[in-house]
Amino acid sequence: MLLRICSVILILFAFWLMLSGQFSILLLTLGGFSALLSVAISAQMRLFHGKTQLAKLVWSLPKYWLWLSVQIAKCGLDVALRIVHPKLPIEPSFIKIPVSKSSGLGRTTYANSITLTPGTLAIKIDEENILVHTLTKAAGTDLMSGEMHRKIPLE
Amino acid sequence: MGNRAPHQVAKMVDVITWVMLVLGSGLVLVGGIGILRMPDVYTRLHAGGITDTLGAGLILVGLMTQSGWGGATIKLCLILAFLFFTNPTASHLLARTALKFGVKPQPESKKGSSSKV
Repeated sequence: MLLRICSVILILFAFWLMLSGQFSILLLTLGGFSALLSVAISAQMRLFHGKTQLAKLVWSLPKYWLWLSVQIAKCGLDVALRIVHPKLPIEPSFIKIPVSKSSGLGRTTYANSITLTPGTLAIKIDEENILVHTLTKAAGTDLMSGEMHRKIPLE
Repeated sequence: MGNRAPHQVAKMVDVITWVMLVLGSGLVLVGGIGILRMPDVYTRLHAGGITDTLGAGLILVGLMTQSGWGGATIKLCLILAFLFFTNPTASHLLARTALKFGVKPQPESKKGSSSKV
């Protein structure tokens, strides 16, 4: 846990440097203090007690984001074409998608990814299911195949 | 090569920026048209989603190609990241609240189909 806290302090400080771009003593000190303060508050909120391994996510999460971006582009173009189509060919419906992520972070990421992808919208989330509103039949069957669920690198 | 190459590269970057900005603006427009054409609140949120993800994404990436490697690009990346975290939260809350207060989907859509394991 100490290792995690130290690495978070370092990351936050690097983040400060990146955003400020100033290297005067005053600003460096302020940055150090704010990194420490954020970590202290996070520790108070027990944010360091989780089991998620940060190092593993450094590689797998950007890979997932890339896949998700391609997905967003594909579905977005499909929905855009349907919007400008004179007949407005949509078949909206509600479906229930099973979810087997044990962590809150995993479930949140799944629901957020569903909503981010145009054509699907996560409405209600509980331990086992997500209620999704879909704009087309194809969007629903895509979700049912569970590909997105498998690609998320969180448990 | 010589001193012509950098000039051509800059021109190509300009073309990429233009394509992305025009495409992004077009998708924002389509999202707006969608909000007008869709029949109810749930389907309208789908149309609005295009504006927030593809439209804003293309415009921001287009701006990144102009801002070069530096603080501005990092800040644009951050704007994009925050947009991608906040947009689904807002859409989800709108839809959930609408459902909770009994807003009916138009036209009547089928509710609760199979839930395979």
